[in-house]
Amino acid sequence: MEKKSIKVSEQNNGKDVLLKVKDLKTHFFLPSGQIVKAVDGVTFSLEKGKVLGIIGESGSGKSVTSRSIMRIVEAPGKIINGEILFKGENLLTLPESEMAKIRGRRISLIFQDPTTSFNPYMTIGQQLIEAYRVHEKESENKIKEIIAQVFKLVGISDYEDIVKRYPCEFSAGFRQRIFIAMSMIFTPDLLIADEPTTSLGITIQAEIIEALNDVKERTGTSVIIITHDFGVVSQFSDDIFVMYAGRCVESSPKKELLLNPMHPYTIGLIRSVPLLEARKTKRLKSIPGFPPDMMNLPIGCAFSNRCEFAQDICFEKVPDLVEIRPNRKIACHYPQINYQTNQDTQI
Amino acid sequence: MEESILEIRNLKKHYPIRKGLFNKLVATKYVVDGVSFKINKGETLALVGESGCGKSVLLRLLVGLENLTEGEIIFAGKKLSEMTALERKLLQQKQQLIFQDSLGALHPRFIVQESLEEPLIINGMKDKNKRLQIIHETMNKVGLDPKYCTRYPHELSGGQRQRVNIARALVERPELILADEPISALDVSLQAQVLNLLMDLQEEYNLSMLFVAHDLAVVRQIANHIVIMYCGKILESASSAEIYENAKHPYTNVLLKSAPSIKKGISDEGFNLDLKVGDTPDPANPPTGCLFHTRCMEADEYCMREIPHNKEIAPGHFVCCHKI
Repeated sequence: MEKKSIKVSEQNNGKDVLLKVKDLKTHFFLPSGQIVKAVDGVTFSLEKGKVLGIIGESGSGKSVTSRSIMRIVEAPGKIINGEILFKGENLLTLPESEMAKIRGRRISLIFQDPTTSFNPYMTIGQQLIEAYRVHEKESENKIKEIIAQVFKLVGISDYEDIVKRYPCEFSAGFRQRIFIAMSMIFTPDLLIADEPTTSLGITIQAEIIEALNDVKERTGTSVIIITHDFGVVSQFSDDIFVMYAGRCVESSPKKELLLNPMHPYTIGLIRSVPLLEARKTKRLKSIPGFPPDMMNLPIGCAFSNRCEFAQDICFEKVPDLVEIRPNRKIACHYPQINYQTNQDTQI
Repeated sequence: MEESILEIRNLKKHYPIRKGLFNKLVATKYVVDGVSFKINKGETLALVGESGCGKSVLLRLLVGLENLTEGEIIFAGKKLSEMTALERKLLQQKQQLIFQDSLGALHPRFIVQESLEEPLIINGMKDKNKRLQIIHETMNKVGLDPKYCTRYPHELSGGQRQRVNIARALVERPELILADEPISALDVSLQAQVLNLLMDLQEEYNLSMLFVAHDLAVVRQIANHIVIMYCGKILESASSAEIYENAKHPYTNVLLKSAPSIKKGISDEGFNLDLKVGDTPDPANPPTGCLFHTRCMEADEYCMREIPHNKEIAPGHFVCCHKI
């Protein structure tokens, strides 16, 4: 397939950077005059062919981040600051007509709910053809060839029968598989999967993650996977990015983060995941308190009121994201540098 | 022998599918098809299965929200079918449900206090002060400040709402809690909190619990006994220790292995999914023979033809598979 977009791949330590997000701020201006800082200064970069896992609880701004990259934030939300460099091009300054050419073609988005992602009145085939024709004029036969290819990519061989049927005739897991196929018809450079497995059963979830992994391996597409499930990011991603209350609290290569998390929130999250391998202990270690109210964030570090290591300064000053070791960034006044996961939990 | 609080025998729920002008019966949905188990006093039984396996319908059968097609429910030694209307009403106090959707389970126009008060009023507690006392006591027990009494459900966070639901289940001092995926809709950091809370309450009140989950990791800490359900039938049931250390059914092993985990992430384990790609079967059109044969790696022709029967391979450990 042709690749028309401008190729100004930025060189960064000899690596190909596909996406670079700098100080992104997306705020929601409510009619009541209140401002919800859903995304408040997020910075990260993604290399070609890599998988970035964004993890956070509901309301942490992870979905708004993905919507900001696609520029589909709905009113009253507004991107007020930052740069999103995709292949060196700032998506935020592009005219809408140019952006429309990138959406679904160079960057695809997979949603959580495979039921509502499809039009219930159109057959699968019609929708795939439509998705193609939005961008390219092509004969139906040629498109059908491409459709056969993308179905093969996600492990569906007998596509002939499937394209004639309606979305409601398939189970949620299969629909999600078809949706992944649909998002791959232009072999995009970036696939953003926003909680792709959350509503699915456990074996179906494993199948979908495996399908995503296959797609990534075979096409070299970079993936951003957004989830609240530590298990999913642990197994699938290369780098992990932890969000809390609209900010990044920790970002690191996967293994370092899993073995040696430094931010108290990351530590708490890892500790509170129920583990199959765990010894049957009496209780799980949980993070006390509740996720913050985005309308009414604490002054200082947003995690301060739930943090066991918090000192006075944490309640006064928002910690900056600093690179504490190569590739390891953390926003905390008291990072737990010596914390080891395997000494604490029974991993 | 241990005293059982709830026993079900060969429970079945079939939904007829009717079509056409004369409502002709075209098919039957075997949603729950011959399920038996029992829960001992003070113990937790975890019912694990994927979406669509009939676990929620089973709970609805237990509390009488659906009518049985066949089978017997025995609560504390007494058959449900032989109970009088009054006895049934008393029974409703003794078993309480906790739902997955914490917001949908609460009346949107009731403040927390009204939600908690209603069951007490229905069951004839006339003294308002006493009601309030019980409500405040219960709220403290579930870790909610009584100042939240005047809040509406939408003003609370998910974790707080689920605590209200737990408090509502507890105000009547039930003996059995039926929890339908109580933590799966909660945020990760809250799941552990609520799970711990349930275990604390269980110890304190000597509650028995039926805990429905779709994930074996979640019930690791809480369950004494685990039942694995698939497409309306039980495939394996055993004590918790047996399941985690000595699971025999291929499906149980898939459930144990396929869950993505932090450990696999650290050790760079790939996706070793011992499963044929496919979907959970449609209960209206179940496969012949063993229900799991369409996705089982070990299945052969015999599995496609013959329905397997429960085998007891160790005391209390039942497996429904030809290969054992």
